[in-house]
Amino acid sequence: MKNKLKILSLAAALLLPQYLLAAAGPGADLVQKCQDNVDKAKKQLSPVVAQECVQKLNGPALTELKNADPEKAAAIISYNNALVDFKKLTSNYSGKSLAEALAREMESDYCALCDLGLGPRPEAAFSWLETNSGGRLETVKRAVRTWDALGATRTRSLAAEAENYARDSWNGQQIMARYERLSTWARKNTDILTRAPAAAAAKPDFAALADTLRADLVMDGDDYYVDQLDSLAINAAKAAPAGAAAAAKKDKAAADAAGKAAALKGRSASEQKDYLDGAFDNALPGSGVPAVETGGKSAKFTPVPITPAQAVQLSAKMGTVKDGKFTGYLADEVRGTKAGDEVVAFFGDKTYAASGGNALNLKFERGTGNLSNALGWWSGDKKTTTVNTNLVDDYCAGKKITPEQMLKSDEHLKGVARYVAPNFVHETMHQRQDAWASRNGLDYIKYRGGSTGQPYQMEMETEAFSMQAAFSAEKAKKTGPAYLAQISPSHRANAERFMEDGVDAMRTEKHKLYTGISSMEGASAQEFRKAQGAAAYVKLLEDKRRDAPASLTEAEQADLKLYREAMDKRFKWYTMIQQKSAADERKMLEWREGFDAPTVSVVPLPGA
Amino acid sequence: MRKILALAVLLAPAAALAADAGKEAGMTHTETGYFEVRFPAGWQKTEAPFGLSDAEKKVYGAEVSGERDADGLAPKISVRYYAPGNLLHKTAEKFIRTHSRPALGAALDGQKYSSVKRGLAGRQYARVFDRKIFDFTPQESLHPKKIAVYEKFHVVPVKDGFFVLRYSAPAARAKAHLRDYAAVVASFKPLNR
Repeated sequence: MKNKLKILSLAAALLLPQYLLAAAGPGADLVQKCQDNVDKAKKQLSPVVAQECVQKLNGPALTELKNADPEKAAAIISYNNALVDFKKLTSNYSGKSLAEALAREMESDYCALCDLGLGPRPEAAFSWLETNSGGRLETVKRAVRTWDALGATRTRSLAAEAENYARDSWNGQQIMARYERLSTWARKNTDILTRAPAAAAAKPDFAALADTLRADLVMDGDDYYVDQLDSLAINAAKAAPAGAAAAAKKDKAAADAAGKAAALKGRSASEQKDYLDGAFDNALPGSGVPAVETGGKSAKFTPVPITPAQAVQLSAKMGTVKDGKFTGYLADEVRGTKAGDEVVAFFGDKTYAASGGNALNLKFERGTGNLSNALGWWSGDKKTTTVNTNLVDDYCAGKKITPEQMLKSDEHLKGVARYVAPNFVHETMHQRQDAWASRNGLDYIKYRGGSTGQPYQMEMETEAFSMQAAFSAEKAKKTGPAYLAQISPSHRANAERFMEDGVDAMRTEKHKLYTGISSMEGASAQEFRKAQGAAAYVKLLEDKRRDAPASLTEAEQADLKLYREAMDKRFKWYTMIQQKSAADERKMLEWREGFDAPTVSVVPLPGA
Repeated sequence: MRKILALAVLLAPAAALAADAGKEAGMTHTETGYFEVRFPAGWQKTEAPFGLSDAEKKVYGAEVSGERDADGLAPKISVRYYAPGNLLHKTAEKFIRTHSRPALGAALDGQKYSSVKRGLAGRQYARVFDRKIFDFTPQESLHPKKIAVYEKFHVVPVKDGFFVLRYSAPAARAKAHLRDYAAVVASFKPLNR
């Protein structure tokens, strides 16, 4: 069926290749330019032209194109966005981050780059990168662990492994499978060195070998082996003759750095801040963290984690919505700010209430698995906003109080609300995005990967981070520097970056946190690549309706309506997200103008 | 005392290196109608096409970055022209105030700011300052690592709007790329201003 569709579609395209271009003018010229750019036969694939297409092919020109030829429109949008995304990824990232990003785009079932001959294996894109990446080819080669960039130590050893690796068999693996295999290889060799530490230390190339192994010990669970290598390096430095001392010094420095990082593990945020204050600044521990008297300076305090039952109590106190009215400590904390007032208005919006899209289901829960280190999260499927109770535990540990004491104290409930409010604003933004998408009919994804809604892409995070940063910045303006001492360092930093460099600071800096999520360009490339079959079918049926309307069956008419609507929703999503990004940025930059800095106070006031 | 010395060490080489920095190869960037500058060879432009366009923001220019380190941080150099009525910083004075002092009025994380001095960007008079700020990585995590970042600015006010040349790098790698920044500053040439 698929092949038949393709043949019919191709035939239709050949029969009617020019009618679209009959409409002369700049719009038609742009369409032709964008189409030529991603025509494999023309071998252009210019990232510069692609960027021009992404920026300019929208509005009436795109509407006209998608109405006339949805298949062509889908291809132009998909492939030019894929080139922009590919150029951006290879320019901005390196190492494992780049590998994960390329795996995300190139190994997808809907890889637009692959249609252009630039995947699924990254080696297929090397010649394009040589021309278009401005000298980044070697960086990409190292990042994707291509055979020729592994170096002789690895390739000799891997060739001797059970798999008898050679260039083709190695490069035939998916990108992250290469990382996994190298991690296994590095663990094995670290074990060999560890079993005979004296022999390891005596190896003249020990430092270089240790560097190679460390570079491959970057997967989950590899920390133990890095520690083993660091111990070996320290012992080698002690045992080394004078001539080898310099070589070992580098390893010791790495071990010291690893030791500092290890020293942070398992500490609460406040303990960690104290450690860092001492390690980097020689500042007095605890400066900037307001102390609460709990029975004398020498009183020993053991942090007590909040229980699930206490977390339920806390949720009820922090925020509820009844009859459109948002109340609780979080409501009090966010009200009176631009961002917070939007949250309050959202919960009171009757147009959303009918569908339940603005119901508040707030939970405080401990994050587990991949959410263990997250501050909070919004679940579009469960319609739940969750704050990680680790944040509450951090607050209580910093104040040296138990959750029980916190729950009985109006002052500390206000303190918890203050500490978690930037996260609440962020996650509520995601709820608002989902409600907005639903209202505009952009939630066309049904049960894909267990999820329903609009495609999740980085502009949604840009907006959420900007909103929380705007909230914190305005609070700092209104309540003074003391406020900054009561929120987390990350939230402070976000607010400062927003004030200095606006929404762009969030847009460019936050993507590295979300290696599994495509940029808007990457998401567009995949969404329209997914839709190509439907677009071809719509084109086929519309051509048939135009040329021989009587031959269109009832089933085909129903299909045409169904698939045309599906295509229209995708184009509407693409257009509206672009417009929303620009409108959101303008709004928040206007807010920011009003958040001018209060009086400068470099040293926080005692007890602030 | 050690911190003051460290900042001084970072400040000192820029002027000394400026003289020979222009000799190094690089890539010329022309922001049509606004400025011309020479970026370091091999650095990559890091602009994002979504959100407001340059014309909508009335801020024109480019940013380039070098290799990211293990913490995901890269040295960056940007040159931008802020036209009158731009949406980011209305005046040069406001830009300087926002960046040469704590943007929110308090430096709780140990940030350090130099005084604002006079200097040159190409042949243009500039207001020059630098600072040590901090990044937190992983960002948005419960237990982020605090990483010192060094930044240096040349702000060039002109009759209509102002230019900003900016260098940003993890403090541990900042000195290594100051030569690149000095070369960019030396090559800066406003067009039709």
